[in-house]
Amino acid sequence: MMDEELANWRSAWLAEVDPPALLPDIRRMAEREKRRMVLRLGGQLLWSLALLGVSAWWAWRWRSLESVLWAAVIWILTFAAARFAIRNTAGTWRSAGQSTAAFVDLTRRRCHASLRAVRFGRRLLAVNLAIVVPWLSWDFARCNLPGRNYAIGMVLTAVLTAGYLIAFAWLQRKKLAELERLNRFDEERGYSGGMRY
Amino acid sequence: MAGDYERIIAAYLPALKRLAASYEIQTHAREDLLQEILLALWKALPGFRADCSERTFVFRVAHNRCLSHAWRRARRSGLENELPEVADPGRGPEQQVIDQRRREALLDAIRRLALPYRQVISLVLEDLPVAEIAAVLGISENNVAVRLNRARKMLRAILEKGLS
Repeated sequence: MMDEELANWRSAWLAEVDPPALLPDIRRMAEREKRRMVLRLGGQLLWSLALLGVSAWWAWRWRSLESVLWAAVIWILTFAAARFAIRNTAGTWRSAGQSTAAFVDLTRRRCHASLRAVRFGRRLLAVNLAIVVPWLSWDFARCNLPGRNYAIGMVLTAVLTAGYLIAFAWLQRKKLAELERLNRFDEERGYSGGMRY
Repeated sequence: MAGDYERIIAAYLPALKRLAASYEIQTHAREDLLQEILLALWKALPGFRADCSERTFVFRVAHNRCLSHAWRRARRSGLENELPEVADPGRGPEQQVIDQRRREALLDAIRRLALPYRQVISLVLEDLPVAEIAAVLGISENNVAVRLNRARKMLRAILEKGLS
């Protein structure tokens, strides 16, 4: 395989002209990253537990049909989201091998998982809106909810909905662009579907 | 594990630096990429089951990290906007300057190659045999040969264009 042209390129490639790199403290960086990951996962878990705990406490505190229904809705939606998250990320934690082909395959599966999460998120948001808006309006119509609180609730719902929709659109665009890059990479490398690990 | 890691880094750091340089022009960006590669190796090392050579493992992890880096970078900005760092001709002996110019010209040409060709040529220049390159990239040896052939043609064309 070796010829003069390659030998010239190799000697230029191997020529050490860069100053020696200052090695970062990788152990500390890895620990910091792990800490961030634990905090993120812990935060999500705490948020879910807080939702479940507060709604259960609320239902127990007021013991009315309405508060029990609220709590039930929150529990059902939280468990549905958790179940989806667990099933959606299955098989995306590590690749079947370490080669570039396996890595590209894993990246593609993660992209699809993110796009599925976006679709699920939109549906969950629609379900939430279909429950929250009529519920608040019904309460307001029955004079159970003061006008000011009703207005605050509706504005808050609108702001949160807009925020979620923007985040979903951003994530979807990002993941679609990533998929396009992966497809281009496959085209460039003449990928035919077969993969060796 | 820490001992293994330090030994691996000591053995492969120059090759990893060259790999980072084939993706990034600017010094600070190279250092960032090198840091990402080192971190990825640290995280991947406990999963190394010796089902391939240590070198194959190191290059697999490093090339995968470079790919995600390149994809992320492509999202942020275009390559065209960056200005290459020019060697300071007054800073060393003449031969060193010539070597550096040759190397920068080669690196610049390699950076212009599409990622699959860039991967193959950088592994060939690291003197990996075809079978090992195939194992790193997860493709057949025939595919490696085809890509290498195309990569060489493209590289030659870019370098000749640069010289003219």
